[in-house]
Amino acid sequence: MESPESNRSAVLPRARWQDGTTWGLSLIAGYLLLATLPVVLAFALRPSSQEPVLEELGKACGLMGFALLTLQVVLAARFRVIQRPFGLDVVMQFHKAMGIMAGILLLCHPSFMVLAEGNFWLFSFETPWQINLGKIAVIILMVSIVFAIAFRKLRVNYQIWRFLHKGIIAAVVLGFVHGMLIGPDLRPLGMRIYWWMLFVMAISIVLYRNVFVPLWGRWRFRVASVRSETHNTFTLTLEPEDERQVPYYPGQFMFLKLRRPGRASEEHPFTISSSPTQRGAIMATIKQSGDFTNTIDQTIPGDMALLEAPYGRFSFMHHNAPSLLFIAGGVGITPIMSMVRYLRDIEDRRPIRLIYGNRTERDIVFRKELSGLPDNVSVTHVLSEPEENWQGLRGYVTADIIKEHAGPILENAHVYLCGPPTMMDKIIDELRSLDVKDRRIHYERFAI
Amino acid sequence: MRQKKANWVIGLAVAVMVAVLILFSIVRTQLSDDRTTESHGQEHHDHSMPH
Ligand SMILES: Cc1cc2nc3c(=O)[nH]c(=O)nc-3n(C[C@H](O)[C@H](O)[C@H](O)COP(=O)(O)OP(=O)(O)OC[C@H]3O[C@@H](n4cnc5c(N)ncnc54)[C@H](O)[C@@H]3O)c2cc1C
Repeated sequence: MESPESNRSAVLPRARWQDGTTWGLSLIAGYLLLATLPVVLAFALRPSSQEPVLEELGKACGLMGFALLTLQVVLAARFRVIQRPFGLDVVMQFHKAMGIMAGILLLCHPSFMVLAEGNFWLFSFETPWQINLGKIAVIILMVSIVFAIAFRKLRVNYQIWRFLHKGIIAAVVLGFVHGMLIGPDLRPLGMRIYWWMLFVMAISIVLYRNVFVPLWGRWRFRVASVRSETHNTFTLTLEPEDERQVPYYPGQFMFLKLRRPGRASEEHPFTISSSPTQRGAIMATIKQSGDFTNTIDQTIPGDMALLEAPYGRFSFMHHNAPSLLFIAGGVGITPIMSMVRYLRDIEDRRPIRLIYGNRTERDIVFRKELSGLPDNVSVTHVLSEPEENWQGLRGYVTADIIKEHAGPILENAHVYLCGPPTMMDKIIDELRSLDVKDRRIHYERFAI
Repeated sequence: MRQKKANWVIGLAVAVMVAVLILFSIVRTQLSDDRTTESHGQEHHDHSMPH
């Protein structure tokens, strides 16, 4: 494989050690340390107790639950150095799981204390205000978690949900004060320092994300052109306001905020569909599929584009693959196109197969460019609802199609898959049935 | 498959946390049993009387 360093014309992310397993394992260990430290520290500073085990467990749940809550802010902050070994989607997967864990712990905290003391009066709001602060924090948290899990089913607008989700910071503040005022484990100085540290960390990150990033933390670009790729898909070419280059691996994505006076201007994640070999400008290819993307054709040259990039780990650059199989569905072609463009530009001679599924011929994105790729790249189109005169394959991408068009490389190829969720689930099963091991299957979902 | 590995890490993280919670809560109360005769200055946390 052509090493990224040897290709002088591409601008790729530096500090490659941040992509490595050692760094990833260190981050996981660091997380576990910070999450469990309050319980270990509380024990070290007060090793014995005459309270019932359940009460001690309740207190420990409170300490760890609060630590997890503050660490949630770190996970959601989109720090590139944290996401690099895992990918942002995986960090968010972890964030969701730990959010539920924090919720369970913080629900167990009062419940265990009440059960241990047999004092159900504690569940009422007639208790002293310091305790009530904790209860309000738990209620805010529970509502937020339920919302976070069910907002899609509840059909809540994404932007409204995101705004409400930020309300969790109120639970952090209330939890902090509650612990400081009545937590017996928080009286020793060492614990107070740790508690303050978690709190200040969480608040600082919230300020960083909500003040620093919007004002100074984004790359400033301008829309140079808007090109129609198909009847509902458009490519925006973005040019930097200064000479700086965004370093990215082919296949990575960005958070794009278009500042378009009088039109929707919120931030959304989109793949960078251009290749890092392309100097200066970068591209996003966007399909009209919802409230915001339906307005993408209203973007005009000169509109400002603010981006946070690069994110994600969906790239062949992280694997030592002798051959590559790309399978795309619809607009899921964008990260794959970025990789194919890069491979073409650096004249990589590995065998490459691309199987591209769409509904109809007019849905095929980048059709012309895909037909002009070098000899080592073969492209197979599959249409599920083709016109009568379609000469190519019909139906969905199946094991048979994969075997027929990528058979010779299947034994050692790494497979990169991006498309609608149902298509990907099905193809992963088909690949497994063809003996492709999970460690060689990589996929990207267009949802985080 | 990164997403599958992540599920393992989540499982591991939950297991470590639960183990730490249970272990330290039990050891703390056990240590107290061992020292019942000598421990007079133990703090008792009373929820109805916040400090
Ligand atoms: C890593 C990644 C790469 C992507 N690359 C591309 C691409 O190259 N081309 C393309 O056309 N689409 C891409 N998408 C999908 C694109 O982000 C969504 O289609 C778009 O955000 C939908 O917004 P909407 O308002 O038009 O649709 P809606 O119908 O309002 O939203 C549909 C769903 O999209 C998600 N969503 C909406 N707004 C946001 C937001 N601000 N941030 C995050 N998620 C949101 C939510 O899950 C929501 O339920 C990508 C998504 C991800 C996660």
